[in-house]
Amino acid sequence: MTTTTDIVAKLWSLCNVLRDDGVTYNEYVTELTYLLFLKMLEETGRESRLPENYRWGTLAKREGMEQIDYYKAMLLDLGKAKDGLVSAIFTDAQTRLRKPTNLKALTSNIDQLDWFSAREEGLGNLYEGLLEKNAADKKSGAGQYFTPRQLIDCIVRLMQPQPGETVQDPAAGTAGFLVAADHYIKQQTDDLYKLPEAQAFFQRHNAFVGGELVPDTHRLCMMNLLLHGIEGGVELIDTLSPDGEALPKADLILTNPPFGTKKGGGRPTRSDFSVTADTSNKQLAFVEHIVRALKTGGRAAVVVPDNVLFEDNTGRRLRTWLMDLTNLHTILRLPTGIFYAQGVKTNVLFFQRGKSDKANTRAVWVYDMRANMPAFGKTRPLTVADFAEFETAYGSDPNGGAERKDQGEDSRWRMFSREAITARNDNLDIAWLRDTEAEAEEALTEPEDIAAAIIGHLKAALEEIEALSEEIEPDSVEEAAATAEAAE
Amino acid sequence: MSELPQGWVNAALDDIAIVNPGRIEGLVADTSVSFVPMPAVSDVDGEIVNPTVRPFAEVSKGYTQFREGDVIFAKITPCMENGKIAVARSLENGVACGSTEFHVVRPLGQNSPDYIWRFMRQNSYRADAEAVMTGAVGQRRVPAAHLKESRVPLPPLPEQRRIVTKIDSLTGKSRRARDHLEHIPRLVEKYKQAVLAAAFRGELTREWRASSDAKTAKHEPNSIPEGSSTARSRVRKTAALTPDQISGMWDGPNGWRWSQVGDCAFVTKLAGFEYTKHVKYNASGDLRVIKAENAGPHGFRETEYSRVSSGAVAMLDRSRLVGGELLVVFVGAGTGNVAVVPEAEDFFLGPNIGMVRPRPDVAASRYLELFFRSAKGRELLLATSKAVAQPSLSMGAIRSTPVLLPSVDEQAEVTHTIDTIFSWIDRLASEAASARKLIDRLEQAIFARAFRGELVPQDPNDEPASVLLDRIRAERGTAPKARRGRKAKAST
Repeated sequence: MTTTTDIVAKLWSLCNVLRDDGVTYNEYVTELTYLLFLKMLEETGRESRLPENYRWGTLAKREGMEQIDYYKAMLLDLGKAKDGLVSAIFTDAQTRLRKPTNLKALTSNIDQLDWFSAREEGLGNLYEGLLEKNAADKKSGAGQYFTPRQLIDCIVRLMQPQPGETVQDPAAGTAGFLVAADHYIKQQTDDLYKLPEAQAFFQRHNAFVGGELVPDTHRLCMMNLLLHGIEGGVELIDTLSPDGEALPKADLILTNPPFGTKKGGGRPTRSDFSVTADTSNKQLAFVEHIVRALKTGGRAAVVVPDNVLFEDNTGRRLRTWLMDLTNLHTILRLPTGIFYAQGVKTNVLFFQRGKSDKANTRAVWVYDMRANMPAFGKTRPLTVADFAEFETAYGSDPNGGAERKDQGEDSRWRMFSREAITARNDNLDIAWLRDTEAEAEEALTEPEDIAAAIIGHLKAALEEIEALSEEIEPDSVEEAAATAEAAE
Repeated sequence: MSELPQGWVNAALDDIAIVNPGRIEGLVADTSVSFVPMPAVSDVDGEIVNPTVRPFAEVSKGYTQFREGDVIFAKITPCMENGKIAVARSLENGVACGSTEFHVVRPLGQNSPDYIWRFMRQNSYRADAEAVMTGAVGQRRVPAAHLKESRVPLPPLPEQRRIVTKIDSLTGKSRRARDHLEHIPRLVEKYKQAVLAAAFRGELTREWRASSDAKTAKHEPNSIPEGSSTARSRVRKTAALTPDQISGMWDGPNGWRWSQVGDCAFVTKLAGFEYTKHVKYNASGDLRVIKAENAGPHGFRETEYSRVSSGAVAMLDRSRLVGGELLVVFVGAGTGNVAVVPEAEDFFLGPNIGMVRPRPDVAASRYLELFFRSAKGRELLLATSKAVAQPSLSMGAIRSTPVLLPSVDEQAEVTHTIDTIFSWIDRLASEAASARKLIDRLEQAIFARAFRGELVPQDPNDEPASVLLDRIRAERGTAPKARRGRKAKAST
């Protein structure tokens, strides 16, 4: 019997065959999602969730064009299934496979998988590998749903998720943060074996929650969680709508909200938003959601672009509110060029929800990992070592309480008192090192990296102008966008 | 005069500020003061950026004196037009001595220097000042009288500050946007070079090679192309590669071969004696002459052509161009520039620029042009240039230059791909440049609105500006100045 590693290797090579046939990484990983799901239900004895005429076995044993036709019909009908999980996976499902031989190759390989050992021995890695390749493929635009692995792992190591905690990602993407948190907990608990059954059940079914807006991405997110033994938890919702109010309150929130303004300049529609009810800036709105979604004493790590730190008016009100309700103890300024989405300047905010609603932040520690860094990109990828100095400075307390030392004006790690920040009008875009961004860009050599830098600048310029427009004439952005949409 | 909002007054600068108040009284000789020569003021930001500190005694004579909170306004060209206008802040002991080419504007009655400064920095204000400059060429200056009489729409004091805050919030964004756009031209250049480098490593056409039947490059000894009317039997032998050239070469993909220019093309120039003996420029000639200036760093450039009559140069038919030939500048500032003669157009090959006519079954001109425009290709071309101060290329050097050739079909694919990518990035660059200009206009429009009172709402509880003006007038007492009874109206 072939081992999982052999099968996984075959599935990888099949990916390349299909790529030559015009099937993108995105389409391939989606195709795998449908098939793996059906196989999983068979292996775990839960095929009763499917209509009777659609089973893995029946699909796998058909041949040629008949198999493709059956497969197509199956995808169409399962999208309307009554079972929530099934319909989530198969909503608007379509296949890109045209050659019967390719479908057959996929089904016969997957048929040989032993589901449980496959999950442990690399199927999850295969899936995540495909997701990563998909993100790196700039044309797919999937980059915006993917946070680089090294950054996620660094954040999880610092935040130290614990068994029994509710972990939320309100912009879950393909579940990168949730899977990483789960992996960390499993490492601490010998794969959940050290936990009593009730707690292990909690970890598998209730610990991880969140929301994802885009159906295609949601599908991949669910599958990624399933491959790691986690069922459900992430809803297909717009967190900035009233559905977001209903998400379970969390002990830990890890997230990277999508970049850019809400299309059409729309406002969040939640009734519980007070600070950001009137803005079209999505990231500001997500920060408000996160603060409200934290339990007392709950902690969060959030990736946000620079404008959240310096934007005036609503941005400033949000930051003041954030520093009142939470202890914003650490800001990490990230280097440019590390995201698959094109060149945005980003930061990680680390904060803990206080018992009271006032004056919880007394000092903010800032680590500048942006100035004087190499130009990250294809030729110089991000590594674990790049975060080592920051992790040491951060210390072993997830809430920033470990002993820390300001290393001075020439170092990357400094402390700023609340008073000092008030004197800056609560602007948190704090930099003190001479910025050699121009030099970092000079060092780029690959066309893709340079094009990404160009597009990053264009997007950033556009966002400034949009913000400016909105400040001059708050309704003009909506009107302009509505006209543009009507014209499409 | 257009309608001003409630509480505003249209004042002359002279009503709300003292222009050129004169020397500062009561300063002790060894007090440290800031020293602000013209270079210490940035025209980009309108700020004093690099003042030094000197004892007052050293700079009290021969320099203009001003105080903290004054607005300094460069009067001389081109400093004024460029925007050397600043609010004096953070002065050592609150005092500065600076270039006499500054007018000093000292606001009265707590009028905001920041408001006045933003008003005077507008392009429109500067344009008006430029129009009235007087003096000899190179020494033209804005007279103080113009400043004094210039009209300033004046809001109530609290509104002045609100306007300043609002302008800053908006221009902060536009400045950041413009800053981003300014990174783009350099990045576009780098991008193009990176694409060329990838092209000549065979990367752009990798999938094309895999999907079609690739033919390997033909490699044949040099022969003059058929059909040329001066087909001579003499064959030029191409010189062997030098160590410099070899070290500049790189590995191409399978099927690509290194050749030398002389082995795949006919290379020639207009000889010195030919030029002297036969070429006479004649403005009514029917043939345009191509010179070194027609091959720019980015390719073929039209110029005001000199002309010759085709009859007069009929015997120099080696120098007749019919379109599609590759041009190479071999002497002077543009050495190494390459360009392709526009298709199906007649020219005469003039001095200082060589011509390469490739064998059509071996190489295409456009491919060679792009190859020698890429950084590494250009290095190969210039590897043998002899003079250090003034690089130059002999025809022999051009012929011996190595060039990496795929099949003719793939050459076409390479150039087509490059052209597509370049046209995309050029569009992007041009949009970015347009956006940059629009941002400048946007800022001026913001200012115009601000000074019409339409940027920030009026507050009826603010003390009207007319009251402020009256107070200033009263404090000055009976003014010694002649021009009282001017047009400043108080709106109630």
